[in-house]
Amino acid sequence: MSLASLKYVFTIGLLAIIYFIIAYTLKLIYSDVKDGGKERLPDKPLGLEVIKSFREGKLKKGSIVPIYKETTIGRGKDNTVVIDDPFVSTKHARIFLKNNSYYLEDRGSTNGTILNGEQLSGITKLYKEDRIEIGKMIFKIVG
Amino acid sequence: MGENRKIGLLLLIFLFGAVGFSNLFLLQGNKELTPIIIYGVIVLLMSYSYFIIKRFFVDGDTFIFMIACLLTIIGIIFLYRLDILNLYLHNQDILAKAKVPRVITNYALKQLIFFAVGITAYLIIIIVLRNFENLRKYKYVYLVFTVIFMCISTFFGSEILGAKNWVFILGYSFQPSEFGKIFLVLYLASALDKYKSWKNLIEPAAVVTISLLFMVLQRDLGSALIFFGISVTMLYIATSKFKYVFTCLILFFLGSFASYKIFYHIRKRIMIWKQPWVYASNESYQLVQSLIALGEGGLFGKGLGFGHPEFVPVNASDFIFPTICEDLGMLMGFAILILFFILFYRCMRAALTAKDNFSRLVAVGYSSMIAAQTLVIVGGVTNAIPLTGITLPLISSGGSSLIITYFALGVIQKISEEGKE
Repeated sequence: MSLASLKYVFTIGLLAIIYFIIAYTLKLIYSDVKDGGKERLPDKPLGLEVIKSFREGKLKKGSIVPIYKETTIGRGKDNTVVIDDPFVSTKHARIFLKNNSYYLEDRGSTNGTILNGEQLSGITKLYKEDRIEIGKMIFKIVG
Repeated sequence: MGENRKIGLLLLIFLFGAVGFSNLFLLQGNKELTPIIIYGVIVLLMSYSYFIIKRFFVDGDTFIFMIACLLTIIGIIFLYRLDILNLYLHNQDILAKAKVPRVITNYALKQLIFFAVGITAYLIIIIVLRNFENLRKYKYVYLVFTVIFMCISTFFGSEILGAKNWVFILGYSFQPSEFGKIFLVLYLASALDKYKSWKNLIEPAAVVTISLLFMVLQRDLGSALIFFGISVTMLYIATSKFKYVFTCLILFFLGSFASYKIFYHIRKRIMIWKQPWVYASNESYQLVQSLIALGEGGLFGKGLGFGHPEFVPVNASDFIFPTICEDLGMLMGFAILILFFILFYRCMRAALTAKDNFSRLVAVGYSSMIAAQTLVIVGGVTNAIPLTGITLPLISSGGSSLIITYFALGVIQKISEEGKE
């Protein structure tokens, strides 16, 4: 078959594919919007295990707090993990998910956050078995 | 599940490329493997970048990258089609023993190299930039670069096709105003970030006015229009006061009227716009050829390779839209506009979710840059607005344009990744 007769096939093919791509993209974008955009859970969700508790309350020794998109720690009542310890700042620290990894950030607390025995500065990536000390509380990251 | 569907989109784009390049392979009529090699390189580049983005930067937008690549593929297909045509014309001229045979071009291979550079820039931005909002501090650095890039071709520029906006350095040519745009957006974002009252607007207004003046002096009216579009959009987003936009529009009309009276080339553009058919063989030759090409293509086009883009001047860069429409019809033209719209939507979405004001303004600036450029050139070649020669982003042949567009999209990708949940 010559190209002159094939050209209709190619034209229709190219137009059909490009409009199919447009429709497909719009469909993907639509389901993206419907799901609320970035509501995606990580591949391997982590949790915070309480190793040493400040006072026997809700956070008993051995209890595990799951971490989803973001977990905030502090004395303020609006935090995910509330620690009623005078050495803990109102907004003390934050653990958040970015690009499938968890990061720990100190939110300008007075007494600081200790990660694996060292004073935390800036944003640090978290791994399993990491130890986080906030006030008198000690947490361990578990998978 | 969502991931598989996105890979489906990637495969569809590859399928589009496969059909297009096999058409070109048959079209060239010999057994040269160039189209297949170009296609292979594109597939490799896209798969590799997609893998990097999916593996390490999950939170970012994936549609921006895919649609930009699809538009570039359409561009490279048509540039290779023009290469085949120019080779054919060259051989015809040699046979006819013409004194000056028409030149052989290598648009597609050059574009492929620039595509690789652009994608690399895109990935480097995503990987290297750690905290985008920290970039707001360098306001005066952006200011200096903006002014340098704006004025450089007024003093060292060479005139090509009526506009003095090209600079030749060591055998390479580039358009400084394209790079000026990048810095203008960064400067405006850092200047408008801390907006409190009209006093904060004096300095950016002066910078924009200077840039516009240089553009008019270089007769680069298209860029002037785009700078104005970007600045007004960013001003409105930063202040949300309509009175500033209104003032800008009034100033714009006053300025346009004054330059209409002062500069001959602006009067000529308006004259052509009003009556293109009257000057069909002289001043408006290229516009009329473009309109004929658009009409000739109709809804479905003549088939890839069966149009006559040799009659349209500058068919590889400014007038690539009529070339595409003649071959694959208005339907392909609409598809390209829809793709640009989706790209614009995704970029604006990144602006909506941006975590701070500076990032938001930069995203708005870059996305309005791409949108304004598309509207100005597509409006120009269809004679909806006076024609000003600029490139169609991502599709037209042109290294400066392609690289800065990928740079801008990379920054938007980074902003979408850092966006608040």
